[in-house]
Amino acid sequence: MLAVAIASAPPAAAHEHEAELFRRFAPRIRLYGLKHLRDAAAAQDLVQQVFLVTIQRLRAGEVRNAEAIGSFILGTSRMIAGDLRRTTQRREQLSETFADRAGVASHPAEERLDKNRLDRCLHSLPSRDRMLLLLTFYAEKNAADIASTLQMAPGAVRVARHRALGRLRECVTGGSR
Amino acid sequence: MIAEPCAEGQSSAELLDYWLGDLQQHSAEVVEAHVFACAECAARLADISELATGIADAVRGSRIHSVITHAVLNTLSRDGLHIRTYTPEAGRVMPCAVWPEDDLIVTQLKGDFTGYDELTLVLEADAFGELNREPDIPLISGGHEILTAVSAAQLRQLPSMRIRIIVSGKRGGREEVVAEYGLEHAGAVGR
Repeated sequence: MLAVAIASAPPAAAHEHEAELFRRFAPRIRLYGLKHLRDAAAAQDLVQQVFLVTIQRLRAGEVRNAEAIGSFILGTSRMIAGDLRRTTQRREQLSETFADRAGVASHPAEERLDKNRLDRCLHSLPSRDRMLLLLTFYAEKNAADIASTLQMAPGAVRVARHRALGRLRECVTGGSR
Repeated sequence: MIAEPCAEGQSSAELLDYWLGDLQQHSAEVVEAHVFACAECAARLADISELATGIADAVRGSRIHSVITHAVLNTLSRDGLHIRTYTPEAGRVMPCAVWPEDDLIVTQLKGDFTGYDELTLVLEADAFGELNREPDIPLISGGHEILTAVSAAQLRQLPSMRIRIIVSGKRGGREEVVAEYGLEHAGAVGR
């Protein structure tokens, strides 16, 4: 177990294990940050801060159950995200005050996504699927709102948007992922 | 999207609901704890996040050609995109053009589209034939309006031409034209 190895090794010997722990959990912390803080920069801050605390606590032998390190990292993420949320809110207020197009476009999709291919795939979707995805991921409408707009049951919206995203994913990845 | 649940039984549909905030708090916390314990589901959630950001970026970058709703249109305006709207009347031809500052061109088609099983939207040009076809478009606004958004960058590449927008639908098993609209596209206009 990585966390156990970090906790029991002298600091100089634990670097490889720490790097591996970071590789495994940094994407999950970032996702947690994106979902709860809704800000890419804040999500990145969260990754750094959670890891700093995790490594310090592991080295100090303060993690009670190092085998369940995922649970410790999630708890730490929740705690630190609470502090960062307040910072993010202040940042958003400033951003709204000085809103411009550059600010809005500052969260590009991760680079591994081929933009041209995504555009082609979006266009190739059935019109209904595309609208569901636009309402969900761009207009940020929940299932109940979309159900009301498209005169569908909320449960049907949830099924349909899952299938629509699945079709888009199949097209974008060519079924490779 | 991988439809099958992971080895521990977590479905990707539930991951999507979690990502979109459509789960009750307790269920969301269960999913969250699972993601921190399951590498497979963490990867699936990363896929969802990546596609979600990609879709939003495509719309925000006005790289779409789609039937939209007022909610999408309002978000586009809020995001500061320059939107030029044309509202052609059925059976008439309206002059239109794309200006340098335009990001998106929205066409608002008014009519009575109710009572049809399936509506199809077709764009045709005399010189080029069919430019685009959207079968089974979803109806909004009680069935009396269709909104379409097209990237201004895409339209700038078209020469001057007359465009016909034809809305057809199925009623009683037969396909019929519901309404036809004309746009006299003057191409890209410089300032």
